Amino acid sequence: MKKLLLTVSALLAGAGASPLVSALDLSLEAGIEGRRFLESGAYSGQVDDQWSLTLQPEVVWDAESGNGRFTFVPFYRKDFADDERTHGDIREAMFMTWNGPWELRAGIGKVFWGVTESLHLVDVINQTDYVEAIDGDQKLGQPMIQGIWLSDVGTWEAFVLPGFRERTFPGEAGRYRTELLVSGDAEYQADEEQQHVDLAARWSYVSELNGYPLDLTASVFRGTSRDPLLAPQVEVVNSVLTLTELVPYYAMQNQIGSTIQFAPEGWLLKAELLYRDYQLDALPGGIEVKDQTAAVGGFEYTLVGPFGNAADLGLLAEYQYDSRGAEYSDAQNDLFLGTRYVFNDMASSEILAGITQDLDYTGTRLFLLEANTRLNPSMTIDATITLVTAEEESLASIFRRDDTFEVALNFFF
Amino acid sequence: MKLITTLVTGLALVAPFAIADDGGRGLEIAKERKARDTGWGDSQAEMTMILRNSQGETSERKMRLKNFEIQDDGDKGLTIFDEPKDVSGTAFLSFSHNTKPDDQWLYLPALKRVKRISSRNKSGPFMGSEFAYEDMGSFEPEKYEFTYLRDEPCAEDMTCHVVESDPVDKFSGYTRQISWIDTEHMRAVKTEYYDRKNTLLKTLELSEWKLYKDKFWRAHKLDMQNHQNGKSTTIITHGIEFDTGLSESDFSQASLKRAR
Repeated sequence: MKKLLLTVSALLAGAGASPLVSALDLSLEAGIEGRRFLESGAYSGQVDDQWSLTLQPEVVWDAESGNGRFTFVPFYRKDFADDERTHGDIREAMFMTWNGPWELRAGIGKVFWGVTESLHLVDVINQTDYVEAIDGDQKLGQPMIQGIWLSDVGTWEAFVLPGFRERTFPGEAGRYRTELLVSGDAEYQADEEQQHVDLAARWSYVSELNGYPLDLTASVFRGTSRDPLLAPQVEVVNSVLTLTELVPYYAMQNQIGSTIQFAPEGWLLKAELLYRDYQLDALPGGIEVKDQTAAVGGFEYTLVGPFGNAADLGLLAEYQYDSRGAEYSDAQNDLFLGTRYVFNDMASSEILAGITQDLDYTGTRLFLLEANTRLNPSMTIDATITLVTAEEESLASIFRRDDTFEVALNFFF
Repeated sequence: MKLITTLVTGLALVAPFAIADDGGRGLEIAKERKARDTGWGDSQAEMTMILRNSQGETSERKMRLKNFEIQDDGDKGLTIFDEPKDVSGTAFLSFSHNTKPDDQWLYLPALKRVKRISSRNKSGPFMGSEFAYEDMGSFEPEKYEFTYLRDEPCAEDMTCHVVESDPVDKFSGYTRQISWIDTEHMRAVKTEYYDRKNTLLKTLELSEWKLYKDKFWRAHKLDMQNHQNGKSTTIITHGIEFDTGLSESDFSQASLKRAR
């Protein structure tokens, strides 16, 4: 024991003397979040108030040479209402090294692909941490090996993705859920199940059109779909055929995606295109699996100082299309209109408000308002209002009673 | 002869407020200013930005700047924010250009997302400060039309060339800038910015100059005063290192994602 202590202290002393430790950076983000649902839930057991706490430490170690790094970012949320929302994840545990035009990363991490605001179609590397946020912006850490090469004809990225992450779903007490709960026992098309190794690649290029920037990307992905198909489980309960739960089925897929962004003057014109080919025609229960052709596109226009003060006003409009139709997607024929008000004040205050209108079901729409500001140098506050109106036949009707007012305080150490 | 008279009169009618004929002196000064600041290679610096509102309340941002000189075009710059902690890791990449709008991107670490800043946003405030995005790019003579105005005494017993620079880009937030450039070292020690209505908007004063590599002057204190809203921003540079081994590949959207 004494020897061990000596070794540890020797290590610490040695480390203290080396410049490596000065490159060790520790920080912590903690949060408290409260949600108030404005109506009682549509399904039994759902709560009206939901409190939770989050912790996200970050350890970053930079190599002395200046061309390597290790990052470690675990995450934990304790939800006092929904056990399924109480969860931990390793957001990042990544070694990276770079040299000139090359970069290599290995570990667990997050990669974002895309340009649009209302929908992230081509973004496929990470699984959605759905219990964190229904907009799909929060992701689970994905094991990966990533290579990046910068060339004169664009940036090339290749991914090997061993280890699959299952999407998180709310429990019985949670909101934003289906009537039938989603089973924790997922099924896979791949024999290797979660051990199937997925592959992806991406090319991105900054070009010019009429003297204005044109950003292009093309990507391919082959492997287990991040989007589960939910198959109702039928069981005999008291001699009656009963739907008991939804079983997530992760099919194999190939997909190609592309993003286009053109920036003439005050405009950002954006589009994401996706074609996804599932490797099966029907779920084991007989539900048809449709290949997906989808697109989202629109613009963002920024007015600088339109009110004679420092604030900017961004105007956003995007159209969403999905070939599979309203039975399979809630972004099949929808129009998103939004506005972003950036105060450009010392507190970095911002408000984003938007509405997504379903054009097939005119009674179905989602309103979202997000506002955030800094209260002091180590504390910020976010407020979110989500309002759902939905026709009974539309997919969004499962959220029809989930109007929410949410406040989160974030602390930075 | 009559033809020439007609032509000259006609020009005068079309552009009665055309740039005064300074015999190319303004452009000459600008080129000399650029020439004196050519060949510095690459640099890295740590900075504190202090925002002050009209009530005198302050807010601090800490950031690091990496710059890389490009010979035939504008320079490349990477700004990484350390504080306040909620924006820690946010990074700003800019490619200044001589003859077309700058390319600018912002990296948002929580989303791992790189967002392009549209070229018109250049006149908007940089991270809530009184500096605009366009004030953060490198000085490129091709971006302006110059008019030499006069020589006069300026700060710290220096003599300055006073030069007007009119931005060529119609999306600049300024109609013109008046710069005081010290005659000895050709450093812009003060600049007045006039808004689109040609009203004095801001004054930038640069001080605490230090000489690097026996050739390149850098101001360690930049004070930007906004005369219209009463707010001001001070940028203090704590140290600059040159020849830090940066390469052009350290200034890309891919490297932006690992900036810290």
